[in-house]
Amino acid sequence: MTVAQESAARPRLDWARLARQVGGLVRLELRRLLLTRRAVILGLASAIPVGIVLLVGSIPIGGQTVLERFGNRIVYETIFETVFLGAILFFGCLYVFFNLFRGEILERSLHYLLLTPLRREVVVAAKYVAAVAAVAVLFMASTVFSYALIYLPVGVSGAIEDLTAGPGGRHLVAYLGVTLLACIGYGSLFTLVGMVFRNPIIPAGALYVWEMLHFLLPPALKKLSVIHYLKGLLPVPLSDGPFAVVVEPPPATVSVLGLLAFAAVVLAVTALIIRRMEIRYTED
Amino acid sequence: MSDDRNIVIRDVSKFYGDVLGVNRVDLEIEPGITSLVGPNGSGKSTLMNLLAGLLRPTRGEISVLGLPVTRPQDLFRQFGYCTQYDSFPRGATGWQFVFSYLLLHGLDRGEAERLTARALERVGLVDSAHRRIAGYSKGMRQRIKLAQAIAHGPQVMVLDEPLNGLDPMVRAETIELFRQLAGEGQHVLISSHILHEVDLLSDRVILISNGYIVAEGEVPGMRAEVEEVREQPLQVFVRCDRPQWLAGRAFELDHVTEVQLHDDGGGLHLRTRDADRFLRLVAELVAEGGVEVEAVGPADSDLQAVYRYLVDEEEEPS
Repeated sequence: MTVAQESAARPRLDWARLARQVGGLVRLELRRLLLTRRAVILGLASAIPVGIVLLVGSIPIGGQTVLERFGNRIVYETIFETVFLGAILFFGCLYVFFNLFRGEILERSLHYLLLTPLRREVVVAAKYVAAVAAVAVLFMASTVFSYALIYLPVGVSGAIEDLTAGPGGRHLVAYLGVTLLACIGYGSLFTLVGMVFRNPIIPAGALYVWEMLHFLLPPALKKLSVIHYLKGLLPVPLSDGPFAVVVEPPPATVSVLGLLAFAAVVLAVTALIIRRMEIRYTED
Repeated sequence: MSDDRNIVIRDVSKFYGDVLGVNRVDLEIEPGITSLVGPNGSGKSTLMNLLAGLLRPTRGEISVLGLPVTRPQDLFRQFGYCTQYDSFPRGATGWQFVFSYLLLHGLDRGEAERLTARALERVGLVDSAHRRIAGYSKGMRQRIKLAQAIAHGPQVMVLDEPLNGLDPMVRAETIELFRQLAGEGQHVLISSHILHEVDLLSDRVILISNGYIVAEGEVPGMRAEVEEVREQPLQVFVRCDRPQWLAGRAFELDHVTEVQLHDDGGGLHLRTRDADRFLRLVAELVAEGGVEVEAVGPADSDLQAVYRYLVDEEEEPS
């Protein structure tokens, strides 16, 4: 019996088969993301925070390292907020998620996916989940390694004590959560941008300016930025400077659920677009 | 749209903005080998992409074995499509290409491996299966696309110019494969712009020109008569809402030799030495909104004259 005949005889939705299909697509996408040049570029980007923390934790200036002089939590928070959240996560997600569909359109291979017995909405969801998994694994590993390096001045025993008995463990979990939520939030946004725009420069530039200058926005508009919710989850509050419009950060549950809901809505819009999409590569 | 054995296309039109893709296509295609023949740009690929749901019709309905083409989760268990696009996922080997898309049908790995091996064997690519597709010749790329399209054993196979780039021996093997598949009761719809390539293997031929189906049916032996009608003007009929106006436009063309309005005022007959150019004009006028065309086609008693478009096109591509 051929696959076609076998499935024609199957009247209802076969959940086990659907799970295998989604698993197949997630694995295909993971291979595309983790076993190609794209993974090397992402790996190098995710190593940047590790390198920075290593520098500020090991090179003494005036007899003390930067970590020792300003305090390891403040220094790490500053690096995480400005370098990791402010640049690497944003552009890393842009690189991966913008190309999630756009890359295959430019490669003229998207039709192979659309000619499989999967609803297009499922294709969107599976590709997105795979990309979030790939990016989150790399960036969360970067978070763990860079965070571990802030204990250079106190050694292994000090690190263990802080992580188990002090606030270190809770902080690390918060940084990991923010990393994951950033991948989820920015990932959904850039997946949609990749479906709508052929060139990422203008939309990504506009989004970047919006996100980075969110601290100057009035309270109502702050709520329209992803980073506003992410920063509310960071464990060490930092000043945004004298010109910042200061507002109370949203409660953690609002931030988490809000970002998840935002990602779901953006993905639903993306699914709607791809559902109506025609394959006419000559236009792309 | 209730025939569960056939491909049914009802009053389907596709416009790309103002440009006509296909217009008012009505077809019911039975199992067996059917060839869709027409010059480059005549609408063959558009029609195939509509069948696969890669394009959405501007008007009309399509069903394949009773399944609407808007439900990929059902359609593509029964449907395999070898497109015209000569592009592949970056870095994939022939085996990975066929195997990974088979997994998306929900097969377990063992079954997917078995079907991959079978498909590669059917197209004669076993030895090259683990080489990257980027290093394949044009003919090998054609065959790996074919393997991917037929690997899951679909009931309906739509193959856009599948013989392009194949050397004579592989071409003969591929044609034999099509015969085998059709012999198993499957639909094999093949497009080609070269008439003699398909007229011997097809059970049925559909002729398309400038977005219109100009003829369809069983055509054994027709090719032999083509030369006899080459020099004769072809009679074409058009059923439309403004026949007088269209007649005026037709008379401006130097290749139109005679125009006759229908008695009911709903159409016209004309004779032309260049039907292809005339059909192009009709398509442009339709796209501009100048005239609403209900039907257009050859009015000669046999299909030979229609073939002449294609033979002319083959020798003098536009």
